Amino acid sequence: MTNEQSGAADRAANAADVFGKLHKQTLFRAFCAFRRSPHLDCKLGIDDFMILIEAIGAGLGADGPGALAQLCATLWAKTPEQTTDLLKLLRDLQQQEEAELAALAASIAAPKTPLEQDTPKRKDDEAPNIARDVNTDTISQNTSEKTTRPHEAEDGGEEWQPESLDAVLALQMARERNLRVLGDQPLTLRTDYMPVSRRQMGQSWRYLRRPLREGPRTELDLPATIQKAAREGLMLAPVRARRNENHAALLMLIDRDGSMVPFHGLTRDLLDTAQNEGKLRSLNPFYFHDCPDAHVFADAGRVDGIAKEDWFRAPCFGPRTAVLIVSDAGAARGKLEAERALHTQLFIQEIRLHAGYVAWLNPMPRHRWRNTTAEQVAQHVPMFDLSRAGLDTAINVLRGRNSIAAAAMRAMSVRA
Amino acid sequence: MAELNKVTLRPWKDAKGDPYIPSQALVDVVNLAIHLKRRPLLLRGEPGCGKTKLAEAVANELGVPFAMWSVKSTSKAKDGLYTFDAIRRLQDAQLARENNKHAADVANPENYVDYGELGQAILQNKPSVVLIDEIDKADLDFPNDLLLELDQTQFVIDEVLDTDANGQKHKRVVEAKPENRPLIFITSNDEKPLPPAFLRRCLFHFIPFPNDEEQFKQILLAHFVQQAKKDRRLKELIGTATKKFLALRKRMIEDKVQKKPSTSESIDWVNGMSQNSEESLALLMKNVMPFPQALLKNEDQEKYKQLMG
Repeated sequence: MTNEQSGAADRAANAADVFGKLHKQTLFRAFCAFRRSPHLDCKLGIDDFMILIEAIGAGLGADGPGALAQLCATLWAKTPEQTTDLLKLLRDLQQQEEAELAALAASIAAPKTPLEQDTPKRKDDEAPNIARDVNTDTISQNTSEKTTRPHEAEDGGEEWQPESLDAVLALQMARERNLRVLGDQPLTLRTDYMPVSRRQMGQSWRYLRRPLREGPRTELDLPATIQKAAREGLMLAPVRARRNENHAALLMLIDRDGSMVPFHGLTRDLLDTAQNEGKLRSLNPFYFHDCPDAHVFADAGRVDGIAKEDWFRAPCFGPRTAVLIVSDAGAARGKLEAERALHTQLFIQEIRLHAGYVAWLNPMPRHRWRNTTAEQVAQHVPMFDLSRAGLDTAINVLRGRNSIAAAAMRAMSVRA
Repeated sequence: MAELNKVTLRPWKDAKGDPYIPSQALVDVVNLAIHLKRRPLLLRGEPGCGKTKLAEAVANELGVPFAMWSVKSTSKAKDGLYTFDAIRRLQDAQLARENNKHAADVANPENYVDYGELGQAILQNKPSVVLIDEIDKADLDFPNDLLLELDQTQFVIDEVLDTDANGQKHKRVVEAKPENRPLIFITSNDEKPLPPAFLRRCLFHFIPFPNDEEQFKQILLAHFVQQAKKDRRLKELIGTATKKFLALRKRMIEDKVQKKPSTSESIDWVNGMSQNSEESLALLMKNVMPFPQALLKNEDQEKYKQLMG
């Protein structure tokens, strides 16, 4: 074997290696793209990617079309919606990849450029063949495994005509460089306003609980039993305790329309997460507009009105009921309306007569409350902005942990 | 003990000999779970699509012990690992005062530890299959309380203390060797959403309904192999029943009916019809549903008794 031959063979092996790496990088791109998918509420970590590499190393996902995509879905997706998302993403990337490979193959098979004709004949015979072999290998490998590749390739493929094997390597290097620079891009534009994510809401709601022992004595109280046995020197019967049950009742009073329109999605999420992920015993949503008047409404469209006197007599009110008001309190308009402030203040006083705990969540950031009605209202009710910290503090107020809430409130107003 | 082998595609059988016909995708997923070991496999799908059956069939196929932990609304995560019977110990302690028979027992708290299904599987340190059935029935905290145990396949017994070489006391740690970790299946019916931190640690597979006519027919046929040998009309009956059943299901999906008949219900249905396959077949041909009680479970589903297609 001549030097030239062995050199070419080395380079071919090298190229195959590089393609092995590329394959990994391609999957990593798919992984990064999937992490940005809107249906995903838990962030996947790097170990989720490594586990895929491990599975591929063990020969899984290698047979049959779609097997690798299925493998990715099993490892990364956690709901049927996410599975659909991921499979579509992989399919799109694969089509992109096939187009690139076709372009690359065409560029190699294309007639020689003047530069290429200058190279010695022998090398000319050798290299393209190997290159083509390498390429067909990767094509079959890639299509069978349904993998995908980033899209910067198209322009690169045609520029590197003269030495096709080098072209492949150079393309690869350029791509690696791009990958380093690009990192986690491209960015996706999301239209929802999310000072608190749904997952964070769910986590916060879980703290709103009110465990109370009620009902018949059915549970074994072990410490008491042992204590009694020790005191009396004899265990006659086990001591039983009442069951520990959650009595958290929440009444959400939500401002609708007008200045609240941009926050409809946010308030819906807040209600949704309280319902599904919280640990509440009962949750009753009511609606109003601007300032609760003689009526509140049982539906978001504000059709089904309830007179205030009847409302306060409803069974959802009680000494343990927590009332959470979600409204911008005039902060969005940026004006100070003395009458509205007074109205709201009187309404809150009334609520305090019927419910145990009251807190206010304001979707406008705290610095926008200054010199508006919201600032006035905040004098009379613990009001927080709808951030993670604000939501947590509001929930602490609703649990009756006022000292903790007061400390947090002081810290927040200092920062503001 | 040797490591678990891969499973292959063929009718699996559970301990009772009931066949289970997996799809290729399901076989791949099970093999992945066998290989990775440290991640439990979370299965979702319509009720009656064979989520629970799968784990048992896999255990049988692999020839390893199988344990099922049926989760209830009051279940606590610790119950599946172990419970400590303090009352019995207290009682024994009193008896020991009277006669010395129980004294040795009382001195050793280990005697009062009862292992749960998962705890047993970890303790015996041999490959096995554990099914945590309907995890969504329990409290929201339940899956979160199991994170560490599922991740590390180890748990701590608070009541039992061990003394190490230096005379230091430690709580007892029960641990399975990595190669002996139990293969864990978890099923969920979507009653409640599972916490993301828990989902992150699971492999996920959605078992779809076998909509393909040939596949569905194979599933039914596999359940009636013995009867089909005696009853020649049965094969024909199953062929017709498959067509009618899939058409019925399609109609119900179009009408947005909540409760659709499942694979397991169709097996019950065919079982009923197989008592007199000739008569049943004649009814099916006339588009009249024999044994509607097996498939239609709401009073407003009367109209579906008239079959089509």
